[in-house]
Amino acid sequence: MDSIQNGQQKAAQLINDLQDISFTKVGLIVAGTWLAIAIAHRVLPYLAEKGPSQLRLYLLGAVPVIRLALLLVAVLWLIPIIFNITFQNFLVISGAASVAIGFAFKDYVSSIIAGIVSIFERPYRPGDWVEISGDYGEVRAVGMRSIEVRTPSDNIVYIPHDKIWRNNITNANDGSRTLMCVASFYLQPQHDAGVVRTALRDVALTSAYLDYEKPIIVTLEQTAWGTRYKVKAYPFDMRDQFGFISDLTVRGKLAIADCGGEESVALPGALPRND
Amino acid sequence: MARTTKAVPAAKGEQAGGHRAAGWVALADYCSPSMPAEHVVRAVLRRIKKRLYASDNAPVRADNRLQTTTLKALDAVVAPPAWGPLLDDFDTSVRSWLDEPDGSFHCVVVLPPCDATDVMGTWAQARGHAVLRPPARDQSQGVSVVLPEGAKLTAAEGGPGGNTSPQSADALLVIPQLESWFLRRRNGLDAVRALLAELQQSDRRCLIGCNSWAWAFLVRAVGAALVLPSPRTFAALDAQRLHAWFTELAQRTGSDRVTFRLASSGEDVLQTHSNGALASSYLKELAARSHGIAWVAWHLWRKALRTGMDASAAQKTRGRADGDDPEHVQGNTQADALTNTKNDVEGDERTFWIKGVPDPSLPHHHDDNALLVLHALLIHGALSNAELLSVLPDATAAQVLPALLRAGVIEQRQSLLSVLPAAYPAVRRMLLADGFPTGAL
Repeated sequence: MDSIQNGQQKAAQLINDLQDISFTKVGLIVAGTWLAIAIAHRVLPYLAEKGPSQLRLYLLGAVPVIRLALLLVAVLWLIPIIFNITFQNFLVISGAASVAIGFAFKDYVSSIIAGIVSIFERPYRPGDWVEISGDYGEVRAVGMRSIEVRTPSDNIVYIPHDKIWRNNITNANDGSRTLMCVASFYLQPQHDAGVVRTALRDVALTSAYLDYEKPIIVTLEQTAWGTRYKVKAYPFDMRDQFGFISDLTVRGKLAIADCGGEESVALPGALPRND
Repeated sequence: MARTTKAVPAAKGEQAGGHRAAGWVALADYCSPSMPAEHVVRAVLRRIKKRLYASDNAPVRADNRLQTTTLKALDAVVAPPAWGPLLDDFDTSVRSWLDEPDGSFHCVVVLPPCDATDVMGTWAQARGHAVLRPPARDQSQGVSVVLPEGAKLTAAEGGPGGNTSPQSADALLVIPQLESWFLRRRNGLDAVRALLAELQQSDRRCLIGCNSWAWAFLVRAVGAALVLPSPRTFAALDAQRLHAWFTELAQRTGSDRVTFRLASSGEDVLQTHSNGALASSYLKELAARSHGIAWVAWHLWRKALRTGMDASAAQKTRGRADGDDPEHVQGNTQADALTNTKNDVEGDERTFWIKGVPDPSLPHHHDDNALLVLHALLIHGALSNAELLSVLPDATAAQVLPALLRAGVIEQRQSLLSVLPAAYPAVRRMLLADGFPTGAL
């Protein structure tokens, strides 16, 4: 009987007496935090799209940081209101939480912890173009459990944060405003490679999307299906990457034709991955 | 507060001081006048106040008692050319460059864009220097380019001016508007490359002009800075120089004293304190808004000027579209001009009212295409429709042209499209905000 009474007393001490808990205060804190997070989620991306492009990535990147900070403040504020914090209670709560997490919410909590780690390690930020497990697209939002990626086909892919434990994350721009774009051309081997290379370089130099500050590289290699040219250049805004590649491709084809080159045709599936 | 009662400084010494030839500065040292901090704060406060008290602070001169100034009246008080004060700068700067004992053979002067009047070419012709014009753009493509006869740039061969010595001012060859030597398309750089190759071999004094946006492109595309190092530019026009310039232009009208007052407050913007400092911050704001560019400031100044009219005239002209570009109002009659003059003359003083010039806006939902068009026009100076199409990534981008023309962002003169100088500050800001590569000026 004594042990049961002791257990009840301990349990009672874990949580403050109900009459001591200000539910109004708890409600206000929860509602206020939710409201602040919702505002940050809407206002900052709106400002990022409407404001100068130089600030876009900073504004988008601030969303998860602000959310984490707000949640942290709210939790630290709520704990002493609801719980009777002692060392013993801490151990009891930790034990119970460990069991619950271990059995029921392992992956969920793993993703949340990975989300917190990602805020500091920054393998991706809102606005970045990433490839994770074969999905390539722009990170639209970084949530608590997952990130929201919009693919070039306008599909939304939700990828849990815990992918960072096991998978490679390919980040094309890593927080900068531009990224390298590659346009590939396959030519029949009989042509003047020097002339074609110069012409393709001029194609990149005269693109309306070109970032002047970044280098332009034209490489070529002999492959089984012809000479492969890769024009590597940077647009001034990564959102123009597909327009830029299309522009390079359209004008590159014309330049190749003017130089007397002839594009080779390969069977589907015979070409390597476009890198 | 001690203020002079004179609207404008008439003393020659002051004019000379204001019109001092500021000369060239290194392009990297160009410093655009900054907007007075109070202007920003005041603008915010004004906006808040306007929301709170809709009827408060009525302007000294209401909009319905202002009308667009006729071209004749504008030409009387703000006469062309738009680059007046730069003429002295050209003479002194070129002279000092030619007199440099170890001066380079070639000097590139990077000019601000929207130079519709070809300031360098006009100056060179006025001074009798040989001028090398670009080949027609549609002939400038192709692997081999034959430069025109004037492009033989060695002093020994003699140029178009029949020059003898590279140190002689007579030997100077002026190549204005380098932006006209290329088209930003895959085979449009041959002519400018050929020219730069010729310049590399030449030992003749050459003065080359290029707009700042084209220069930024050419530095990247053809390594122009390697052949023509140390680009220079004109020092920015600050409020004091604008004051001296506008004052001098206004004084050309004759015996009438001309005042320029803000329609909002009635403040005389050319009035000075006894120590010579400007009483109004308007010219500082104008200098900052125009980035210190003479022709941009000149066009904004003309665009802002209105003439007043009495109640009956206001009634008569009510309904006439307000906000038209004053430089394009062709329909006003001589009678209108006389009416304007009568209404604004008090004794021997004639008043022009300054109204705010709002920034033009781009067509909704077509911002991206509009910016591509504007960027192309700034790089090339002026382009025909066909040329513009050839430098855009997608022909559909040109669909915005009618909207841009209507909005007063661009103009079409003799089938050539170009950005209007008065719209340049807004265009530059929009392109900068969208991440486009911009010129230094």
